[in-house]
Amino acid sequence: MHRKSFINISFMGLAAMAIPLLDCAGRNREIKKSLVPPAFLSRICDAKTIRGIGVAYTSRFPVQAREDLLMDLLLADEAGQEPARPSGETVTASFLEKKIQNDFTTGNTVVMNGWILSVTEAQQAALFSIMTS
Amino acid sequence: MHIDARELRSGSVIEGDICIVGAGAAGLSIALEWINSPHKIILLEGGGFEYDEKVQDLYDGKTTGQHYFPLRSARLHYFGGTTGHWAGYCSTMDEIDFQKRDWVPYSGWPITRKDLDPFYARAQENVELGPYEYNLDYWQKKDPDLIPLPLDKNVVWNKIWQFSPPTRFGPKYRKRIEDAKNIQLYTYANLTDIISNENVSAVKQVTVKNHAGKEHTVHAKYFILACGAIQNARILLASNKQAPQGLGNDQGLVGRFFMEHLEIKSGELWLDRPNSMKLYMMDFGRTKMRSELAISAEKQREFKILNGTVSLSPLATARNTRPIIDVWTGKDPRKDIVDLYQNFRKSDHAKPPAGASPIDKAFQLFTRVEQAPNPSSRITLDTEKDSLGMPRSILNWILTPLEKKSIRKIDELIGQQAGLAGVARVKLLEYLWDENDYTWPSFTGGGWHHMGTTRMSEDSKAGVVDADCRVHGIANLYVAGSSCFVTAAAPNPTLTLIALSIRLSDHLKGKLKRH
Repeated sequence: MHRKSFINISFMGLAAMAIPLLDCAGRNREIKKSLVPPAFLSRICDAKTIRGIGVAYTSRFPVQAREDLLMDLLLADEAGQEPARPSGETVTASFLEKKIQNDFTTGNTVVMNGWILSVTEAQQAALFSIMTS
Repeated sequence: MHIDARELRSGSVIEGDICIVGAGAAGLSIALEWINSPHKIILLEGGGFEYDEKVQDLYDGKTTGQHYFPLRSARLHYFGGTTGHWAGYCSTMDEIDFQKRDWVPYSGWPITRKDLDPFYARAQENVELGPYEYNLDYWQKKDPDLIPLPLDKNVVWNKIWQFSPPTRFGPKYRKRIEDAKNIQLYTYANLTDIISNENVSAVKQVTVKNHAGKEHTVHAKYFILACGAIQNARILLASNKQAPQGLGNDQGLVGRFFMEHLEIKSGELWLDRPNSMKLYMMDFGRTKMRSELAISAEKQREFKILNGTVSLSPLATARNTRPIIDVWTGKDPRKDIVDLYQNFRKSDHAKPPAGASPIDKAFQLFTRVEQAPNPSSRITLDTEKDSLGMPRSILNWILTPLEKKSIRKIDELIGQQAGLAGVARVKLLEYLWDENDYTWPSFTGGGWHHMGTTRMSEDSKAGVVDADCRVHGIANLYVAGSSCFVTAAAPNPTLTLIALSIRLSDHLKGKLKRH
């Protein structure tokens, strides 16, 4: 094979492999962004308060103080199984809203800095605190 | 007819069918029931028609345990009693309040809510309330703007309160009492001793004194103590000539089980959008009714908590209000009440202008919870005596972990229901964050509600009075008022103590008819 052709083919091969990876990373970034901040709390509190709730959450549950794990927990379905990958901000918001509602129905709540919250929104606050620290 | 006992010749003997000791909400409510009856009623009031420093000082005493208001200013000592400055908050006790609750030690009345219902209806009139209706539906039909928060009624329900103008019993009922031919009102007639027969089975007479140096004796068929929970206990304990431990105190129960309402700011409710909160708001002197959030009986049972209700007030104002325990610190109740109202007015003026800030949609949660009956929380006698020679009172106010656990759980349940409904989030105040912390913050206060010191029980070993409010073992001595309460429930005690007093009055009418 000519040297020039080899370079071209190699470059195209690398590009073919990297583009989906880049695309995937981009989508993850998008999903992550759509998971924060917790919608209800952001209507009643400032960012500092939400970060404070997040820090309190990760202090109480230090093993969860990782972006990828918090994302998985937030995207897991109500039974805590297989992470779902909702696409688009609206879909994610409605998915989380249902999870929060379910938390309050089942008593899956925590008290963080005095706030009585659904575990889901406390995890959202935790992810928010990590992302903005 | 009114007689100033200072003007009588010392050593006078006063006689009647019934002697009511105390002309506050309980005593006057009983007296009103007997106007134009064929029976002669003696109504003894320690004070006059106006505030009198020397008379007020008879209420002074010491407090130990949980920080409390000065006893000297915690009640008013003149005709009309503490209705002279009460705020008029009224509501009824719930069915569960009368029941035996396994998780509330010493709970369980010998009567039910149903027994008290007809008397509640009559008590409404004494304090000039609206119709005997404590159902939200009734009030919503009258005013559709009374919209409740969309919370699950099986967990959090809307308990209705009504507001008396507030009725000042002194000016309101003075003329009726003075004009009643069969009622003799004696002012400046402080009961200092109850003399029983030899075997302490009946009261023979009572002694009254005043600062003019006069001492008189009262004979009657029946005697009713209606002096408030601290004074009722004090009088029984101090009447120890024939019964060394005090009258009705064979079991050592007189003065024990002193209860108050814990009234304390506990959290914040943050709505995410404007909501009509008219149902929950109160404009003093104007609002006739409002609702407070309460926990269902089922959830009280499930979580083993005390009964309580939570009022809502705009956070922007409430945050600037000083705790009442820090405001009501003086020995002159006339000054304390002015300070209290000034405190509310000041906080209202300090409120930031309404705008788009989230705090405009936030409300303070103020929890009023019953105190669990506790024998260590009690009134005893001091060695120090007042100016008429009566031993002064000592209040040892003792709280238990159950009160704090209950406040936390009540607010938590409201928070969970508000979250479930998607209307708000609740933030607990810091003293409630740690569920294993049972200490109380410095702003812990009461409602000036004294209860339980002559508790009711059919068993003479478990209570001071029976279900008719008669002192066990003493045929003709009765107690009226909140000292007979077995448990405190959430509402302020006035309406219930009036209902109980009217019930006692009916009981005595029946007895006198039979004889």
